[in-house]
Amino acid sequence: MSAPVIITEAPAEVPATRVGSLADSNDLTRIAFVPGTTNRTKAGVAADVLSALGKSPDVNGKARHGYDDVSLVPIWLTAHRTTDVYAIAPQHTPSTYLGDLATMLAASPATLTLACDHGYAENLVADLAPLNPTVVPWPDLPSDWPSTENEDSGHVWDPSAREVVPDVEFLTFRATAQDLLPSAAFRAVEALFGDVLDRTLLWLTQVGPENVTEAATRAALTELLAEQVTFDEINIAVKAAQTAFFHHGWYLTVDQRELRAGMLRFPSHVVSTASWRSIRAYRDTARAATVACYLSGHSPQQIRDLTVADLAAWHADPATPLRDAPIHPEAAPYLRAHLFARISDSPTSTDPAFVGADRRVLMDLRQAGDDLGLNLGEANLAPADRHGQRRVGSRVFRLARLT
Amino acid sequence: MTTHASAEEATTTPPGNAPDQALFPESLDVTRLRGYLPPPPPVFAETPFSMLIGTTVQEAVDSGEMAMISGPVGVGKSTAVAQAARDLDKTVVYVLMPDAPSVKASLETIWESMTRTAAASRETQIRRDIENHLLRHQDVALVIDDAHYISTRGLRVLTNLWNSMAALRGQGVPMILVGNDLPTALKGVPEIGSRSVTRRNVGPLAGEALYAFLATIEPRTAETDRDVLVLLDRQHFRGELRKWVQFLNVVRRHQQQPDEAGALEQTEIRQALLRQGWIG
Repeated sequence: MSAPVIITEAPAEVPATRVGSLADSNDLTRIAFVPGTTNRTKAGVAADVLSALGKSPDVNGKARHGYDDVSLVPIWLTAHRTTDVYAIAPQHTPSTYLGDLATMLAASPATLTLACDHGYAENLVADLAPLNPTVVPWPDLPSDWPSTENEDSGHVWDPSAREVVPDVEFLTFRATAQDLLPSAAFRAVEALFGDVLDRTLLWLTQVGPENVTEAATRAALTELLAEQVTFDEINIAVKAAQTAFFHHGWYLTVDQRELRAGMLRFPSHVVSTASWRSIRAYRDTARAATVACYLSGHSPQQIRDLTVADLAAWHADPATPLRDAPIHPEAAPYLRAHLFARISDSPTSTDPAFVGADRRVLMDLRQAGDDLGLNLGEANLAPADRHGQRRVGSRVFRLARLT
Repeated sequence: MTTHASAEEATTTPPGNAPDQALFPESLDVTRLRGYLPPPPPVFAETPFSMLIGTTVQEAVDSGEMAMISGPVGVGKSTAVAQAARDLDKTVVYVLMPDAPSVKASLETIWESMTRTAAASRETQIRRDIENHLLRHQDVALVIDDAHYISTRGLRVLTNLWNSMAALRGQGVPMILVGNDLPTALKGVPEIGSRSVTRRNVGPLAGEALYAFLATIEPRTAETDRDVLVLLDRQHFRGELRKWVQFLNVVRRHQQQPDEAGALEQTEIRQALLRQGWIG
């Protein structure tokens, strides 16, 4: 059994890659990817599809509880409500690869469209005859490529670029970032750096040198840092603040390790579209759903207490809260995916939605902070009523007068 | 301009300093430094072909498409492409393909030229690494010299790489393929045609364009009898600019006075041809 297979051939002088404009990375209902030219195992084929869904092999959380990549493909496609999977320029892809792909999609509502280059459709139809492909005319394509920018964040941050943000002294930070980063990434760094620099300079001018104490600095900077979503942004904000203090004749030492540890304690109160999208990197449904619940406002204990019945009830009517806490629309695909994966274990309705020891939730959140560069982690260590207040240790900032 | 420093710059010893063992460890083979554009010639002379190539390179970079520049050995394709690349507001990665590489070796060469770090051990991983690198560095343009050495399967992988970029970001990675007789080499991958903004065939330079080129790199040729130049070209160089440049370099190196003027003399010409082994 296989998914419906459609073949469409690009006109002469039009590359088949143009069909990629039908996919939209903001909306995974239609995804496109370029299959390889070599034979791959079923797991390799699955990895290609998962990669098109934003799953990254570079983050942890791979294939737990026996869900391998092959079984995860229909789960994630269904969870994201993907209706079309476009394989671009598959003319040199082995037919076994395409056969495995079609079989893999059979358990999902997705249709497989093979968009080949001009002159290859006939061979493709012959090679894939057992799949009964349907040949359709080349579709009308939008003239513009879909935008991948997030709507609700002023400076769009690409979490995949986080490891190239230079970790250098504040005096050389901006120049090094300009030197090392691609222009688009640098623009995002520049925007945040400039914003924090201006605000810190203003604060320093307003309070005057006689009132700049370590306690006042800590209070002011905690407020600034609490706005940041990722550790990269915290890093950039810290460098900008140090630059501002230097400009006013202060040397501000920041213990990054202490700062980071404190930041881990509480979830960011700024959850942007980028935060939700970054969860796509997880293949493992349990970890993705845990982070999604957490970002929706559930405490770790609430996540532990969720049952399969709770998830199923929410799935039946997503407008209703999940155990009293509403689920953000962006969180829905991750919870759906986990429900589908969990159902494959044939649990009873009272079984926990997330299997594993109590500390699993904490470990997952801490790991997600690391994997995705997000400020989430050991929130459970503090009672719920202390949420929303970042903890910045008293020894994080040290001031020395330079003049 | 954001091109990498040339190999010449990277390997030049600072004036007055003897080569330093720490700077030049024995294990470092500077001839294998990858990714850098070849050093510019002392004098670059525009020709109709080089101007055409310059336009082609610019068009490929602007559109994010492939470009093919094909022509026989020694007509100045690589020099013209490198010259055009130096003027681009792009990070240009120069990839010199080794003779008859496997697909993995082709990908390794591209990776090492882009990052100057060792490639992963598996072909699929190298391909993924290249894709990720190109996604993060969207201002990269690839100049692939001696592209005729790439196998048909290698070209398919290269096209696949371009496809991945085009599918992910709406624009492919600019790839300028330079080589001898490329149309034949590309027969197995006809779809490259739909991804190429331009295809240029350049041939040996002849006539007034050749003499203008010669006059730019060696003003004495302008004063030399045209029949002598015609004969030299017909018998020895056949419009190959590389051979002409080599010949004129030998003449210049062995002239009596450093600022010698006037037409090239018969004895000079004969001596230079002898030294190059072009006559017995």
